[in-house]
Amino acid sequence: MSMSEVDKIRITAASAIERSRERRRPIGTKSVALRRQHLYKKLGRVLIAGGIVLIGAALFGALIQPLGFTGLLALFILLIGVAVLFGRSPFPEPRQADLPKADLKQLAGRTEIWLEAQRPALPAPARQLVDGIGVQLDLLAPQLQTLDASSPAAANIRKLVGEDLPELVAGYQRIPAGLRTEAHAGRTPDETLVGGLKMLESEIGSAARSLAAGELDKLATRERYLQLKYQGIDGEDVPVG
Amino acid sequence: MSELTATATATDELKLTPPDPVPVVTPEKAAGLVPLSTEQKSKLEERVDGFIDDLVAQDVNSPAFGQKVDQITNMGRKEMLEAANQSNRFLDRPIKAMDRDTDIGMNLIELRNTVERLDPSANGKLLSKRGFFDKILGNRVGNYFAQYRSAQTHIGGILTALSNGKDELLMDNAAIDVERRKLWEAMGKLEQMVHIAGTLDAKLEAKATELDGVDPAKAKVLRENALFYARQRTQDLLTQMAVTVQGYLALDLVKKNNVELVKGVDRASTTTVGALKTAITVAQAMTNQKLVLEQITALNTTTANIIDGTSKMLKDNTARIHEQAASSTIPMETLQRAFQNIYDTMDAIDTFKLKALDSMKTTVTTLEGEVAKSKGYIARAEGASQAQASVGGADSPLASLEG
Repeated sequence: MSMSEVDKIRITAASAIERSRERRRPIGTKSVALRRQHLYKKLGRVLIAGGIVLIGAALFGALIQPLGFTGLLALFILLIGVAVLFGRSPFPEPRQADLPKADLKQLAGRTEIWLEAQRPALPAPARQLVDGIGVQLDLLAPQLQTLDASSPAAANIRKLVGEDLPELVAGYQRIPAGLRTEAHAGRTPDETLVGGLKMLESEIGSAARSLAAGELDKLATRERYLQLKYQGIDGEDVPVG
Repeated sequence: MSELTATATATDELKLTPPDPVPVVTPEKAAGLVPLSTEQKSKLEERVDGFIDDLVAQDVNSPAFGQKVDQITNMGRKEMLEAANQSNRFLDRPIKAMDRDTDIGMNLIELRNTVERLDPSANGKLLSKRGFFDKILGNRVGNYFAQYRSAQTHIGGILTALSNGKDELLMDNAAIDVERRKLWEAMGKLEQMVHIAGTLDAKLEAKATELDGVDPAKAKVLRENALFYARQRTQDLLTQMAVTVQGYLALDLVKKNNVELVKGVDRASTTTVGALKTAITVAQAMTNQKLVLEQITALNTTTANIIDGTSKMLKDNTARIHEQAASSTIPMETLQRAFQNIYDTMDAIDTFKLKALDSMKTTVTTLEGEVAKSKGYIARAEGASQAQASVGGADSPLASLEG
């Protein structure tokens, strides 16, 4: 019993912090970017609203009557109120039902955020796979920015990332926790989840690669064209007088 | 005459050979076109051995056995799909190429029309002998050469369009090369799957014979179930392979076709610029006036950048024409020959295009038939894979090469 009560509390607290950190650890850069974007927007709104209040107060003081102590106090309270009002709006956490309808440009990021929220409830091997899926989603995200939303490829990705993936995870979560390790028709739900996630990881990765294939081909073609035009290799014989 | 022609033409005869249409590749002949190393082969055979051992170890009535058989029906699905996706694109190519040929054809026709208007033989008897009529006819010759000045911008425009068309042909060939690289890779993977399927067939047969004495029931199931699907799958893979090989050859055809057309366009530009150059020198010799075609110099540099050796040829040629025009009694004939040169080139291109179009059409028709056939197999493969997914597909050693 060398450990004091304080030490014990400190260790429990540290591990609790660690757990919660692990709990909300981002799985990809796109989710972080979306959250940051939201934060900046919020800050911008607070600053603009505060500015308007200050200008209003200045005009009031200059034109109608000096503010005085009460006025300053009121201004202070007003500023705090504005900050609370505009700064409180929390990040709109995506729900599973929203994901299939999400803007294609934000689809990868939103799915990442949703997965981050589900991650703590998943078994350990699935958590690792979720991290891997985050990496693949990051790979996919830049290409979704330029993809035509009505193309078949876009519909395919929307289905894969916005529907199939959330549905698998949600389906697992609908099973009572006690039954998740129990074998059903030869396989436990845990195993099924891991199998499905593995599949999704490789599919999202290959979708990202096939989307990039067009650009890769274009680059290779351009290089070959330069070769053909300026080196004339490969039987590219031109008549020489 | 031969010397005159030789100097005036200055280039050897243009021969454009249209490539032969791509023959139908039968599935039996499709295997073995992409070589596999012995190391690769033994690795694949090891995988098959492991699979058969696993299969035989299972109870024939167990779901695990069924799953294994499903893996056979699913074998090489990814490779087949990949190759099939490409086949849609290589059907595009010859069709696009035919369109492009029309574009270039239009430019050539326009060039021909413009050049025909300048043709000295079409402008009546300009001059056959110097002498008494010099003064009277000199004026007509002057008028004739004046036409060049008005035509030069037009010809310049056409030549630029032709050189753009040529760039497009080169770009097309570059894309074809990239596509062929990818196709080669896909064929390599298919070849590996074909090897797996063939090995599986032979080894299953051997295993069944081996089991005949010990466990005839199992041997029967192996033959009727596993072996049957293995053979069916081998056929599917070979068909896909045949289509892919054919597509690969078709791409080569389009490429060769483009190369020939580039040659033709190059030659058409060269001969046109050559004829205009000749006109400059001839005009000088006949009218003792400088015919200024500013654009020709400009054309010379632009085309020379595109066409290797053109500038060199033209330089040599000009010197010779100068000499000839000064010495020859009939410089107009030199000019006529230069024009004949352009016509010859264009006729060669026309003949080539007609034949090439034939080859291309034949190829597209056969290819379309084969691709349609292979689509049926792909559909079957897809059906099998969906069936397998509903069983709860495990990681199959045969499903894909990446596994």
